[in-house]
This record gives sequence, structure tokens and C-alpha cells, in this order.
Amino acid sequence: MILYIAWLLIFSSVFLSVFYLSIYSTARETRNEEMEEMENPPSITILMPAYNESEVVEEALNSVKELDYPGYQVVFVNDASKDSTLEKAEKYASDKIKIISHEFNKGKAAALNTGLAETDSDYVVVQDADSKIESELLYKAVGKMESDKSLGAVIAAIRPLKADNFVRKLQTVEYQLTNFYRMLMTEINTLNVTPGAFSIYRSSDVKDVGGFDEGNITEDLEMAFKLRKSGKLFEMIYFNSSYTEFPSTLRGLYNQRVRWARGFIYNGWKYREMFLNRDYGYFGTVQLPMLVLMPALIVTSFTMVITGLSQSLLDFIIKSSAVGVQLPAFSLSNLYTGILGSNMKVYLPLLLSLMLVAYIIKKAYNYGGERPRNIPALLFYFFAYFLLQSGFWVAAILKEVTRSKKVWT
Amino acid sequence: MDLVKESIIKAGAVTALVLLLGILLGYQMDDLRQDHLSEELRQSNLETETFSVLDDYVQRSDGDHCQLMDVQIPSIGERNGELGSELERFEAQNIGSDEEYRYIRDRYYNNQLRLYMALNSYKDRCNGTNQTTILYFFDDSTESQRQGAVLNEVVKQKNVQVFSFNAEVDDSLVVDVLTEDFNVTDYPTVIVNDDQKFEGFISVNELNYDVLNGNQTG
Repeated sequence: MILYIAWLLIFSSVFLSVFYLSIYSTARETRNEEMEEMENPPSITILMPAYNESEVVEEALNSVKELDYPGYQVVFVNDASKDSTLEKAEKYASDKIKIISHEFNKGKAAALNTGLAETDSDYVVVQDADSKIESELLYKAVGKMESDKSLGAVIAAIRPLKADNFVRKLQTVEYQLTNFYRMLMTEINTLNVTPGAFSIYRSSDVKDVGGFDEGNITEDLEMAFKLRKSGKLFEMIYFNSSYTEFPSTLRGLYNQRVRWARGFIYNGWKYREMFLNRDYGYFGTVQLPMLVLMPALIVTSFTMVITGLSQSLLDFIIKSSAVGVQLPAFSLSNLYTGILGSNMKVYLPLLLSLMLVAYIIKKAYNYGGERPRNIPALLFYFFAYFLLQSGFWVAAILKEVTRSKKVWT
Repeated sequence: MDLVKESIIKAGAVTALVLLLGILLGYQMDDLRQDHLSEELRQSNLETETFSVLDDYVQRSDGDHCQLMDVQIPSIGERNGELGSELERFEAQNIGSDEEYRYIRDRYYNNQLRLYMALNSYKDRCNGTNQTTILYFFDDSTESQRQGAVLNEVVKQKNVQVFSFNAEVDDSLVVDVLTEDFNVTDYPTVIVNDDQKFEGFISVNELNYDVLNGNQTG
């Protein structure tokens, strides 16, 4: 039984790796993509909701003061922050930047809807107050939306504002891959997210679907589902980024990822009719089932690894209780019998699977023209990050099952 | 063909290939394991047979060859012990054919019993020898695991030879006869030099100082 479960995990990983590598082989090189000049650039409003972002709000507002785009507006919505976010933001109030403040905390979705109500521009951009976008991103994003009316949103690659500790470095590695996978999903029109760090929508589309869901802890994901359901597609600009503040502590990362996982469970259930539904193309028949399969594989892998380690630890404790702690003696003979005693029906496919994942990581860095800088973080991500991820998913599932209170963190 | 379908087919093909490679290599490893165990068993059988034949011969001769034979015992016992450990380890991982392992295990138990009897005969003839024989019966309990670790320690003394039998195996006449003869009903059970029987866990200290050293001085 355990052999078959191990095989299922390994071969799922091999399948997904080869699937995406096959798509990569036809990925378009867009780094030097020239954007056509627009004679009459459409109007844009950048919606910037904020709650307790005093440490980063100035950097975010500085980044939107001088963007390479004519005639845009910014609506900054302070969602009753308890720190000095509002005071710092008010210094930026101008004809271009409007500052609005909620009297009491209503949540990010409500803050976005407040901003949405203040604008009648052609496009709205959602940009978190802890994010900073590259100057030319706006122009490129609008250009894509204008050239393809079937697009409902354009997103950007997400990169860290700072990578000054191990937790952030780990996320830097993670996003190197996430951006790569999202680029590949764009190739096959299965992109499923419109992150709050940067997403641009047609204002009319957002208003037509009723704005952002104020009861939702992942309103960006819910918006993505809504727009997909209405027939819209998404695209990602890989070579221009939104730089955002990553959680700096394990606790912060845990809170964020559990919220995201809960959001996926909640929204996945809400839009369950889209799963395996051919009306939504490969988004429904390929992407959504993969999104359900991934956490199941992660949690199962975690269970198997922990079970194996626990058994080894138990054996060690039992033996030590009898004869004291002893390190195993190494010899070539032991090595040979050790290899003979290993289950090659599992280990060889596992090794090949890991090699494929390593190859994908290499391709992800090569595609971005980057080299891995944080080797310890990269190694941790490669060998052990799935243990953290499974913890996030198990916590999320338990919280959803027990209907624990949803908190936006 | 669109890109997604093409990618699914490629991914399916590679996955099937990896599965096939894993299975084929797995079967190759099964053969290697069985060849290794068979070879080890063949060597052990030869050593046991040699010892037994020489013991028979020496009984009829006038010369004292005890010391000559004594020096062979540690290596024979060590090979026997290692073979038993490997057999248990490979079988416990459920890798390979059950039937093949059962056959090798039964031959191993036969060899152990033959070696055990040859050693006892040798001990009877060479009164000066300080060799100790231990019969060990175990199951898959935690106490048996602990007892196994103790005996692995004790056997590092070159004058102690351990013969271990898994009481949970099916269809082993050797195990059935031995457990009945020594009235073994609880596991682990350790029987020292045919006359001292210990049911339940016995520690390294108890075995070394109270039993083995006591044997040698008593």
C-alpha cells in the first residue's frame, strides 16, 4: 500500500514537471518585447488599500508618484489603521493622489470597493500599500489589455522589496518558481490568480461582477474566479515586477499562507461548478484539478516523510534504551548492503523526480536571467519547504472544518 | 494538436517510462539481493559443513586440535549473525519475492541449527573452550527489538555465538521443534549454553556479568 502511495506521489510530481517543461519549450521570449505607443492612452486609477503599513507606505506612494504613464490617478484608502499610515499617506495628497479613510476597519475588499466607487476610469489597478511597481509596468499592462479584449486582468511578476532574512530569502526562491509557473500558465490560458500586489482590470468588468467580495479573506482570488466565470482570461508580464513586502517571520508567513489556503478552499467551494467543466476550457479541466491535487500531494508527502522519520526515531530510541546511544559504524560492506536493502522501485523514480524539479528551478532562474543567490534558502526550499506547506494546508483545512473565525493578516 | 494536449501526452509518456525504469531496476535489485543472500548462505553452509566434518574427524584422532578449531569459530559466527541481520532487514522491508526469502530463510535456519549442534559437540569435546552459545527466540515486539540490540552488543565478544530464530515465521519445522523442546512460550527468550533460560528482556549488564562471566568462572 505504501509503495503505491509513494509511486502516486512521485509520478504526479514527474508528470507535472514534464508537463510544464513541455510548455516551457514553446514559451515566448518577452524580455525585449516592444510596446506600441498608444495615441490616446486610456485612463487608469490605482487603488491602494492600506492597513497598518506605516513602515512601507511611503515607498509605495513614492513609486506611484512618477509612473511612466500619462494621466493616471491614485486612490489611497486607509482602512482605519492604528499606526501612522494615514499621517504618512496624507503628505502625498495631491491632484493625482486622493486619500480616503474609513472610520472603522472594514477589510481590504471593502477598501477596494470604496476606491472603486470613487473612480470612473477605464482601468483600475489594485496595488497593495506594501508594494512598489516598476515605472513602465503600467504602460505595458494597459497595452496588453487594449490589444486583447478577451483579457480580464493582467498581473506582474512578484519580487521581494527586501530579502534580509532567511524567511524572506526562502520566499524569494519560492516566487522565482511561482513567477515562472504563472508565466507558463499564461502560455496555456490557465492563469488563476490576480494578486493584490499588482493586477489591472477593466473597471467595467469589475463593476459588472459586483466589485470585490467583502466577506472574503482572499478577495483577489475570488475576483479571479468571478472574472474567469464571466469568460475573461488573464495574462502575466514576467519581466516587469511588483516589489512587495514579504512576511519576515515564520509566524507571519504561516498566517499569510493559511489565509491563502483557506481562501482557496472557500472560493473553490463557492465556484465548484467550474471544476472539470469544459465550458471554462483548460482552466476548468486542467488547472483547477491541479490546484486541488497539489495540496493533497503535499500533505500526503509530509505524512509519509514524518511517518518514516518517526519510525526511524522510534527504532533509535528503542535500541538506545537497551544499549545506550551509539552511532552506526560505517564500512564499505555496510554501504553495499545498505544499497541492496533500499527500495529502488521507489528511490530511482524519486531521484528522477527530484532531478526534474531541480531542472525546473534552474530553468526558472535562467528564464529570468538570474542566478540563485541564497543557496541555503534554495536547498531548504528544494528538500524541506513542502513540510512547511503541508503544515499551512493542514491548519487551513482544520480551520475551515471547525469554521474558525477568518482573519485578514 | 494543441499545446496542452501535447504536453499531457509527453508528460504521460515520460511518467510511464520512469515507472518502467523503477520497476525494472527494482526487479534487478531483487535478483541482486537474492544472489547476495544465496552466496552468503552458500559460504556459511560451507563453513558450517567444514567445521562439522573436522569435528567428526578430530573426535577420532588422538591429537588436541581444539585451539586450531577455536580460532575459526568467531568468523563463522560473525558471518552467520550478519546473514541473519540482512535476511531480517530485507524481509522486513517487504521488498522482493516472499517465496524466495522464505526459502533462503529456511535454509539459513537449517544451517544455524547444524552449526549450533556442531558447536555443542565441539564444546563437549574441548572442555577448555570458553565458547558460549545463545539461542534467541524473538517476535516483532519492542522488547524483542531491544533484546536484539543487546545481543548485537554481546556478540562483539568473540567467544559468544548467537543463533536467532523468528518465532513468528510460518511453516518452519526447525523453529517449531526448538520452541517445543525448550518450552519457549514468551518472547524474547534467551537460552544460554542449553541450560539457562531467560524469558523477557535481559540487559547487557545482566547478560555479561551475571550470566556470561558467571559461566566462564563457574
